[in-house]
Amino acid sequence: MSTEEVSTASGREEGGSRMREAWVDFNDVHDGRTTTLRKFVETGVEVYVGRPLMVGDYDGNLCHSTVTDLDGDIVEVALDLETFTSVSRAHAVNA
Amino acid sequence: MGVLVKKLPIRMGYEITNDALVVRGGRLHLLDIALALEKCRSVYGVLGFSVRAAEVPDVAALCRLDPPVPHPEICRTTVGQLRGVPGVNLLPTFAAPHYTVVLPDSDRMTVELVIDAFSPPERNPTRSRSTGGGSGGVR
Repeated sequence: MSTEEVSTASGREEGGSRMREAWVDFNDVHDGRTTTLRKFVETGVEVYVGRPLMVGDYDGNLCHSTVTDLDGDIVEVALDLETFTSVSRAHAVNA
Repeated sequence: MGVLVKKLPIRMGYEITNDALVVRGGRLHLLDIALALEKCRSVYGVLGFSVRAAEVPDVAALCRLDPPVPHPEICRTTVGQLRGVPGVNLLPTFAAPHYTVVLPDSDRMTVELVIDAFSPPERNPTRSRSTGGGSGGVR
């Protein structure tokens, strides 16, 4: 299964003013940090160390973060979990 | 994409039992799992995704373990149910209670078999009702 096979959504579809700039998995957080891939950063969003980044997932969970490291295609962010919110996605189903 | 593989930190010396509880925060959205698999493969060379697991009395105790599950909803299963999916293994990775569910391939059928090994989404018992996330029950 490729991500292209199931991907039709974008972070831009999230409701409200807070839009996802990069996908992350909030189950994969270690010492307040997680990683994602550059390809999971929304088109047009430039990443650099120190940049604030709104990260989220396809459940509609969102969180403020700051880019802390770039290693090739790997983007590490420090999450501010105090800002973690969840947009109601009762319509969300597995494709 | 270049070579990105890092060493996946595996905890040694302890074998979790089949009765142990497993929780993944969120609704197990297929796309979230697909991206998690791709990230894990790209970074660690392992086709897997993150869960937490421990021999605890109930799901609330598992969700409370540090770091607490932030998601308003969770899906649950047991180690034994995951090991019952052909080719699936559970690796103790990073700091407890983190585990990585390792899949034999990323075929859609395999991914859906793993997702089906979990319960439907249910409310995170450690989160208040005001934190949003829908009513659960349907993925």
